[in-house]
Amino acid sequence: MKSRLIITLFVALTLLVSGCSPAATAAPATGALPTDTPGSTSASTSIPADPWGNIVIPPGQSVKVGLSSALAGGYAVYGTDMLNGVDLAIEKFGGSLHGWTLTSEGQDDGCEGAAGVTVAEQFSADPNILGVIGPMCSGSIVPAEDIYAANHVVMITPSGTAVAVTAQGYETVFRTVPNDDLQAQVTVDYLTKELGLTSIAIIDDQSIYGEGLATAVKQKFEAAGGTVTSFEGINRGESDYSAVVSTSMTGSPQGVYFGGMDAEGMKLVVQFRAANFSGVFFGPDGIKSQPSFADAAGAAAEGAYMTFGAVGGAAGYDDFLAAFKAKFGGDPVAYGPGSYDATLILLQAADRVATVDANGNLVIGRKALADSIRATPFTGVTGHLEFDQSGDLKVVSISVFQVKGGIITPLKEYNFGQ
Amino acid sequence: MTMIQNFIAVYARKRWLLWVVLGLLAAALLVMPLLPIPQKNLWVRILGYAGLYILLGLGLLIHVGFAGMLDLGFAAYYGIGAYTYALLASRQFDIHLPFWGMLLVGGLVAALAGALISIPVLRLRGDYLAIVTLGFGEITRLLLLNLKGLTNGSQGVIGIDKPVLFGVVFNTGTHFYYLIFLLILLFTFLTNRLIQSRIGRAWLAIREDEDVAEMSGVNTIWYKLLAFVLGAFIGGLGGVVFASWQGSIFPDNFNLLVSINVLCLIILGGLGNQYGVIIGALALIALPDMLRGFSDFRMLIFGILLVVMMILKPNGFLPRVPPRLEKAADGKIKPREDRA
Amino acid sequence: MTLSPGLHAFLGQLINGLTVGSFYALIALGYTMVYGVLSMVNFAHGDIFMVGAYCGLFTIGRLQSIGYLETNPVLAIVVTFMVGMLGASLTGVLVERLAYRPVRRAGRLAALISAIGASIILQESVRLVPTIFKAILDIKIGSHNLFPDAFISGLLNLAKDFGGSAAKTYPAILGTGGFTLAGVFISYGRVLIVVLSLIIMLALYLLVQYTRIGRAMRAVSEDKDTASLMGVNVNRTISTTFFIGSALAGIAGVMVGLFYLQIRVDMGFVPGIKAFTSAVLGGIGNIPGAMLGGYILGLVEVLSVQVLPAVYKDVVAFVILILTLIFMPNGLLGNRKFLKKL
Repeated sequence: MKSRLIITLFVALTLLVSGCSPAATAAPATGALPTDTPGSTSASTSIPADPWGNIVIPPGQSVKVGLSSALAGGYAVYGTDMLNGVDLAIEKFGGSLHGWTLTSEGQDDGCEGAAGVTVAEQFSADPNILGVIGPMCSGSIVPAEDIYAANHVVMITPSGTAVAVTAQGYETVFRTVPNDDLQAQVTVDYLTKELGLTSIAIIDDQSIYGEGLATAVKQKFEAAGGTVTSFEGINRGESDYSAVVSTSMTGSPQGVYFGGMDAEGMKLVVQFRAANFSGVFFGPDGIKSQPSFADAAGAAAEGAYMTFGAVGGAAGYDDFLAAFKAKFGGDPVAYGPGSYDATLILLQAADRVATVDANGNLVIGRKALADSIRATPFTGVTGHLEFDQSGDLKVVSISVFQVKGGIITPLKEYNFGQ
Repeated sequence: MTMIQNFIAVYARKRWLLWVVLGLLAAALLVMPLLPIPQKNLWVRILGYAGLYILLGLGLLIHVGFAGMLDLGFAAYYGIGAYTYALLASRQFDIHLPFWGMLLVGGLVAALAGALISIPVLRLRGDYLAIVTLGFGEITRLLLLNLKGLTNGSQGVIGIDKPVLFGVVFNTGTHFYYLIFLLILLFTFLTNRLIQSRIGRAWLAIREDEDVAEMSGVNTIWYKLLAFVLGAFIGGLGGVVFASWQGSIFPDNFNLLVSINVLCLIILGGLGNQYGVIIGALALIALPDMLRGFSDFRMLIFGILLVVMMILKPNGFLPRVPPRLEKAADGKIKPREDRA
Repeated sequence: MTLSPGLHAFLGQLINGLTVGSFYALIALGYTMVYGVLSMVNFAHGDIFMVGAYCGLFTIGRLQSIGYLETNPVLAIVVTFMVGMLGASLTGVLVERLAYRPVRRAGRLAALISAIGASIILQESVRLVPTIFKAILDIKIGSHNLFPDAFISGLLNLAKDFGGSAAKTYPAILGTGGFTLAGVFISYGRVLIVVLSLIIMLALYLLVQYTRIGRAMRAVSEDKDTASLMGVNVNRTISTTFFIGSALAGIAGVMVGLFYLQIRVDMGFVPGIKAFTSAVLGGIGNIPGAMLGGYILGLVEVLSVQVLPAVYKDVVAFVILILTLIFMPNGLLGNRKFLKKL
């Protein structure tokens, strides 16, 4: 009886295994990386050999855009938003690439390192994957980009802002957002020059993202001659931050900077205002969310400032917003527009370099794809996006926003580069 | 009682079946990376990662399965081992000590931490021990997060060295797959020897009834300390492997969920022996990855499977065989497994 | 009357600590009651707290949309609490019936895994409510929908109002009003939370001490088999325990929603761990112990923020716990039962 159960389990696992290998029919029998080595494209002499090998999609199969993000658990709301952005971009692109059907494949990395690596291996092993949007979190990107680079799979993250993301020197890594350093620079510039603040309290959420930003703001604010009255960390997922609010207010700062996401930012701004704090509340792109920050905090969010690494009012944004609402029945949450742009960048580059070989296969050179992404400027719904050698944006526009009358409104735009 | 006796009967008769299954499984896993299978790198990754959890499970099995101490903070040893290697073999301080020596050092540092942690808590039992170890696990993670000068805080340690053996740099999943495979074999063998030794019998006595064991002259504190140290050593060693494989580590890699996962897999395995750990890890760690096809419903299905498995097989896949102590021919009292 | 700044801040933190402690205590009671009757750690308890918050939000959202919240706010809030409690209670009873009862004889570790599974199921279910509804409602017979269109969109909107991945927000009705006592600002919301929690806990204590069902619960926690021989319906008593313990978590969930506004599907994890810690601190299985443990943990946390960097708050909390257990191995008030071995 008991051993029968074990056997049943093994059978079930085997079934799962076979059920989960949709590419079994497509993969080459060598079992090596499905990327073709330069020599194996000999079927057609007209196809230029790519130093990184080619993506070869036989006729009738689909070309897939991978998305690595949190699709289950607490951060799923952001991952779903990104997947929506990818799907809308594929639809906008016409749903096909040189006649090959385009599909998206979202994989859950839980915003976590080890799962990010597994997803990277999965996408790298899938011969139909054109490129990957994401991962969402810097904690997954840093370990996962080793795998993507080793397999020459292009990845474009619309959200990974940590400086480390593009510091490894990989040619396959791109991001459509400015790094934390620039965002901190804009923050401090606005705090000191526009608002004339000389003392702030800083709070971060102890994440790679939030703490990285908060630390950068602290250094730059002090370098600009300001005083940081306190520098505290909070735990994500708690409800009551009033103890930290009280200690942050003891130094009587003129403003508070919070490095973190909307969930905690919203509770902090409510609790600061409840404690009769009347100074400036300032946060990064993580809190620029109309539903979960401005709407959720209501009156308490009024007047709060935030930076965002792209221009929300770029040409075409309104059309994008209308199409997004029509398709998914709601506004984008955070990284939907960035994922939309990243997907279009990938698809347009693929469109430029794709050829059809003698056997009727769609052939895309891996290095040619990465080079084309790097070489071609793109104007999307989040603004002008052009990459430098390291995969960072050449020209960055960061805007400062403020909640005015309950609506997040742009105030000032900063431009870097060129 | 009859249920337990049934288990004994079933497994006494079918031990050979277990060996055949395990042997075939090991052989299949050994040659898997060499075979031309589709998406092979993915399978190497999934199974290699499950292998890492088998290693952790072998460590925690000493705490929970052998010595009967419910430990909810195992991620602490894993994290301490990982950070020991990461800080001494990475760009962080530009120190680059060789992996193979550090494998031992990482284990030893974690073992030391295990000893320090265990000394104040060895008198605690059951759920009190569980919550205190949970506390230590969280304290370790919070210290990794906040001792920024040493650990770089939430920004983690990146650029961790890969192991090098005879000039071969371990830069693919397959290298780590085989490294982990060998470590599993080694520690399965070692813990097997251990459990059949005098130490193993002392643990067994403690697990079955701590008071009786103490009254029978077993130095319970010493043997529990030993269990803590040995389990922590394996956990730390697993951490070193993890750090070198992932190449970058962050305090969040060592949170409470890791401890819970390792505990789940050894309970699923049955707490009885090392082979149960292997089956438990393959089921628990590889399963969510195998469920990826269900996308949105992945974790929901996983949760349902956990409950269903516990209802169908409440004692895990390979339950521990209760000790049947008999007088052997030489007059010494031995556990029955000694002669099997 | 003026206070020194240090004392002033200290008094302010005291109020904060009592609020946090109230939540810990309310949730800890569920842990400790279940532990009392089943000797198991109900790992899904934090998620039952979350379900309570979501049921409350759904109710208050409905009441707001029909205008009832504006015309009769007090009754609307009472109804919200009732539904939050009931939702959490039924969930708790269901979890016990489906996930714990089948493994009751299998030992505590099997129950622990089953509880972890139940925790995942609860979180993912609330998150996937709209997805699941959509999948069911999209069933077609031939080319026709099984259900009429209006019914589908109506039900789907209800499902979206209930759950989903995104954080959800309670309407801000408590306001930020308050009064000043000895120079310290105290909001009415905090007073309400502390007073309400204390009343509920007193009621629970009286229930357990002086009623028939309370006697049954105590009997079951002493010895299930003997209680059963004495004519106590053990299964029903366990269900009742889950019902009451989950109701307390449901109340806490609604209070978190009303006071902190935002709720998420993973909101149960951190308070769950803290409440479990509180229960052990007070002596697990001991009802006054759970209350005491909750308030002590809440106060220790906020006071540690006052003297140390806030990031060490949890380190201090766990160190206090460990020290307490080393010197008082059965918690502050002790558990009356001898601990069973693993």
